[in-house]
Amino acid sequence: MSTIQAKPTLVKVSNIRKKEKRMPTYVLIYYFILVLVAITIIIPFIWMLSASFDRVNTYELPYPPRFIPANFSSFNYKMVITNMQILVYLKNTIIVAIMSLIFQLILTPMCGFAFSKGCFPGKSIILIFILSNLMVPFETKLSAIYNIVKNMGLSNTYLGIVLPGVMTSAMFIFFMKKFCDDLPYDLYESGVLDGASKLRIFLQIYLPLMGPALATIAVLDVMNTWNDLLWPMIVVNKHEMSTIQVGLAMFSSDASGINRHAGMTAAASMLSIIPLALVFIFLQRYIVESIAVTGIKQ
Amino acid sequence: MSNDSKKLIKTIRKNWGWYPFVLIPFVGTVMFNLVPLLKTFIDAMHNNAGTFIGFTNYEILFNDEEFIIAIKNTVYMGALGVCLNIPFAFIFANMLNRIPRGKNLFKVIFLTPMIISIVAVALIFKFIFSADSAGVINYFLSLFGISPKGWFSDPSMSRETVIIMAIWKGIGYNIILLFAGLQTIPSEYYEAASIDGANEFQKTTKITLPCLRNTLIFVYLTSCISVLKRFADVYAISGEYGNPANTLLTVILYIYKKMFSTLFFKDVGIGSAASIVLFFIILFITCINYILTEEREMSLFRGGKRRENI
Repeated sequence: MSTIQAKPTLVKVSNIRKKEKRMPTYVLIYYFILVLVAITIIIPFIWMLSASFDRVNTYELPYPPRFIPANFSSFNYKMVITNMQILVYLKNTIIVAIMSLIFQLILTPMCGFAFSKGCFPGKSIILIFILSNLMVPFETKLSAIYNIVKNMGLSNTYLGIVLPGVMTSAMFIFFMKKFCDDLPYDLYESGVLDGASKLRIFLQIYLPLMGPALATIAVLDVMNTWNDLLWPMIVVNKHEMSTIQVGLAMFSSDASGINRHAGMTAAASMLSIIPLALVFIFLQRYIVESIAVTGIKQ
Repeated sequence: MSNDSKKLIKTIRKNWGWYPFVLIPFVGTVMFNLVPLLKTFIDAMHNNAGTFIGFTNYEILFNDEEFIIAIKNTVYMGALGVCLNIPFAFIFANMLNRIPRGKNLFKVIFLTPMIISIVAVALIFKFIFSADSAGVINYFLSLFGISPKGWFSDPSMSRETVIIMAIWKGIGYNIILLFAGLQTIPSEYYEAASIDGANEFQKTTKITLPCLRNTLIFVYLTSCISVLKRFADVYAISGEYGNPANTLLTVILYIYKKMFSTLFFKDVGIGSAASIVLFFIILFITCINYILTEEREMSLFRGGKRRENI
């Protein structure tokens, strides 16, 4: 009895050993390379974090380069906040990001819902017309759009920064339409039978079901607005209305050739990424998802 | 009035409630897409004084040495970036797909460059790739006895350095994109191939690449479009100048200089002509996307999607 039972376990053990032995040969190499890549990606962040807290009193970089502050202080942050108006830039960017987010979260699900469940003459033509935004890059019509925004009296305003983007966000509308296509049509019919208006059906039945899509759009939109440089730079020509990217770019380029103070630069960069880092930490799942969805959903 | 149009009016009346839902994006498209595009076409045929000059602006444009340099730089940097970024992203995504544990941790690490804007990256990389011997990279190289390099300030390697920076920033995004594509391939395919005695290389060429075809085309073409629009990184490195020695002058930077510069001579007509040239190049790539990808409706409208530079 005991010999019969012992045999299978022996076989199993040897099988496992075989697998364990076979796996590492390439898996270990993969781990090694991936860790190297991860380190390469992390190092600049560590340098930035360390330099931002390191008080260096000259414009020269410390030799050898340090990854742990030798003279720990928040001096650099104080300098950046008092000399660079960075808090004003941050405030502007947060306002712009929130405005854009509100517009997007109201407009795109409504529009996507109409294109998905609605039935009205000219639907497909209007859809193609709106999607044409994606075929014409924003960058090729800069001066014309700037003139339109200026004639509306919106240059140097938050609305001017936000408006051209949110009124043409065809990608998000298309994404919302695709998401809404997967929701059942019966819900709409039952709403109609109960005598609800289209707006009410949308607000009370479909909108609550669109949660994940809204989160994805929110993440992508905040990242886009936060990191946009070209358009805010064109619309805004006052210091006190600049967004953070414009502020950083000015900080970077108004002394080309002259060495910038490394600690201050690092502190400014750190401050510029803190809000997005918070978004990233809390919505990390949706970020990965949103990338996969925008690229793969085929 | 014919019967058909009466019917149409009737259905419009019955369904008018849908139009407010799509009104704002429709107006937006007219205001910020159709009109500006036509305006740019018209601007491209006028000189600074507003006189109609036909296609002269295009002639000036193609005889402008700066524009030719801008195109050369953009194409060179774009080709280099795309050729390095996508194959490496593919390799790393494959590795990520094969390892048993820690996938999520690697994913998060690879994505961290997404939260930092390209402007901030440029600020930091200026110090990391600093030309003096105390820069992180030059110090690291000096450990191997390699003399300090000029990086961003050396005309013979400034473009390559920008590409290194852009790859650092953008490769994580592509890895995640390709990784998501890899996960849709059923593992049975690989098991069947193993039973038939296929090696790793055969599995990659016969299973992975064909299954990933659409994703790869998407990544490749959106990358191509986004590298043509390279602006933020070169602007953050060199400002409006495109220094050193015009090596960092790209097409969008050229357009920006011609239209909005405060330091150089402005000519909106030539800037518009350059915009139109760029528009047609990008339209051409979008059309290739449309032809190559099977699912046409989706792919057609993905062409111009906003993406970070590669």
